[in-house]
Amino acid sequence: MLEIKVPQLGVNDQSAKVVEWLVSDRGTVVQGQTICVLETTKVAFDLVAERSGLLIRIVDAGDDVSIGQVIGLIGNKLDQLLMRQDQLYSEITTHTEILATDRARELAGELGVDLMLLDMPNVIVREQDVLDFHTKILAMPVNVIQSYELVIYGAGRGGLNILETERWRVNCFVDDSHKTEFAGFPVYHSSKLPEIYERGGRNIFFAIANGQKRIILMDQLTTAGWNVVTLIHPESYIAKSVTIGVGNNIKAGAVIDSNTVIGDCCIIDNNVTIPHDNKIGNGVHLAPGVTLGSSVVIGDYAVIGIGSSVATGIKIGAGAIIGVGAGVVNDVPDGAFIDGVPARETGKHKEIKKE
Amino acid sequence: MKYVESIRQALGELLTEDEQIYLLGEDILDPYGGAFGVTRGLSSKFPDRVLTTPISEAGIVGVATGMAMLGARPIVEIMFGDFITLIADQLVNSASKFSWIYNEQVTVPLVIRTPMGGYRGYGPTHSQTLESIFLTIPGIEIVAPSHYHNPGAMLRNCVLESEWPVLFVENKSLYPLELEKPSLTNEDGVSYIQLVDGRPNVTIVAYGGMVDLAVKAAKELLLQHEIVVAVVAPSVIKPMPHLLCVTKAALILEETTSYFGWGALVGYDLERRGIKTTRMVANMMPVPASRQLEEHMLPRIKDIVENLEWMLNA
Repeated sequence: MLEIKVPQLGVNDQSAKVVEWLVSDRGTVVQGQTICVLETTKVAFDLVAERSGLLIRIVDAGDDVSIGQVIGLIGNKLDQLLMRQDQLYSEITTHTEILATDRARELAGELGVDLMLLDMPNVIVREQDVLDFHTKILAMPVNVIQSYELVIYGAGRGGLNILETERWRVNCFVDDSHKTEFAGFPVYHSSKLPEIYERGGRNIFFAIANGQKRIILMDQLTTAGWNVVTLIHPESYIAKSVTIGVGNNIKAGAVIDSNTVIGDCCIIDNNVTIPHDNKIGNGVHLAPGVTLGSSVVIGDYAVIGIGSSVATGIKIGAGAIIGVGAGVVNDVPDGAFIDGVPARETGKHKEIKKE
Repeated sequence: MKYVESIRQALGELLTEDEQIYLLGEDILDPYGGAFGVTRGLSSKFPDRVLTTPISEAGIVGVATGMAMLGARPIVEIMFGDFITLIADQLVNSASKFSWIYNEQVTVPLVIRTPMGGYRGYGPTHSQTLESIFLTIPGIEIVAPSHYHNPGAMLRNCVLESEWPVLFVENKSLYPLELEKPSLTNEDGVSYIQLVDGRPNVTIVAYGGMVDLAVKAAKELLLQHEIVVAVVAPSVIKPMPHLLCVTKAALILEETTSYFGWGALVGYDLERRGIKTTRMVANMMPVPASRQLEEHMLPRIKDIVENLEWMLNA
């Protein structure tokens, strides 16, 4: 595999711009063929392939690149090339280095505070920020939790909704933010979950919008001994032959009929109608008023927008996002954006990693 | 949005909105679009009003002065700021004085855009920061926005609102930078920049390309010592706006080679208010063509950091 690097085009230039690619991504190139045009302040330069093979692009037309940066790959084995492409992509995008002063890092080291937990992107973390986080949040004492009490992960509107249903006696909240109090309950930082377990916490529910995150947490915490509960509103109807996993939220007005199987950590919102013989995956969100036909299959992490209708027997792929009021009459591929009546694909997003 | 894109967009909008707006300059036509690509795309859309000129800076400004007197609003691009010496007579003895000489029967709303600054290895005659030579000439305004301002909006304002010739200085090293939001900008176009909240320990006063170095030095000081630096960045150089400084000490940073000039006035003003000032300018010599020597001659971030450390310890 050959890595195509930006050459030193002029003595004075530290960077260049990619004007255009002359070969499509994953296209075949021949040694000596011009593959793209680079430009500096004074010069436009044709970049030539030094060997033949398949070309993989790392950057796009219009991007600014530095001298020496890898902008493409030429090779023969597609899977090898794609792996290297992934690596290079993540090098470009993970500029999530934490900006912290030397003193802040020193104190964090001394106190054993992981700077990532401070969750302050784009802000330079100072010593006082570390101290505050440590004394006010990490060192917060955890109250005893009874075996019949519930811990809610997510100190937001979802959490308030659960409080109101009064299905469980809530002891406390857990959150990733720096909140210490919510709705009259203490909020513990999520890094304190082991300590909360020590103090008796066993039952937990995730009031979190992101389905993938719910599933990841469910896996982690179930392994650690937690009981991830499913909430079922008394004013929902669930037929006897229905199977429901853990961590689900079945809200008021929801109807789930015979032989339907629901996975883990789904949100079945108000007045969602799921007739017989449906199969819903993990981490799915069916927004209020969604109506499915029978024998519909919905893949993991799919989101179906308010009031959409899905015809009988339709298969909806993993990670698909269906807009408001859509009329889905055809199968939906993984990761597609779908809208309208009859619903059509309006876009696609990246591969959802299936854990 | 990048600095250069902001300027380009403003030029496009001006050409669309006002038939009296003309662009004049060397090599500004498509597909080249100017030495720094600022005017790219404009001559294709406005072939009658984006004009390429012979290589005579004095001629360009002379023609533009005449156009302005007859009611047009020409925007001249001088390819490198080092060439403003060639326009000096037209600007000093004609454009800036005609309104006064002809007893306000004419105005000369002329905007001259030019890139100044070094750090690119372009050599002694393509890297200077020369706007200070016009500081003592009445009838000329000098504007030098940084990336912590809105250069497009400022250009628009200068073209449409100013009745006097304006020297609009763009620093070359700012062209590819993304525009940033300062903590505060007041109506005089002075931006105040702090990387963190809290009372600053020291101030840097800088304009144009030096604002980038000032902010980088401020970041170094914050990361290494938790010292909070306030960067005061005016965009209008002449006339001089009021600069707010809440610290007891200030560093005045310029890319120009002269201890005379703008920084001296800022220093005089701050010292009278009881603020202790230190000045940093480039070394008094031509800008070397060799990158290594150029680096030593122009202000460096590490020198700024050292100066500030010294100022705070003294």
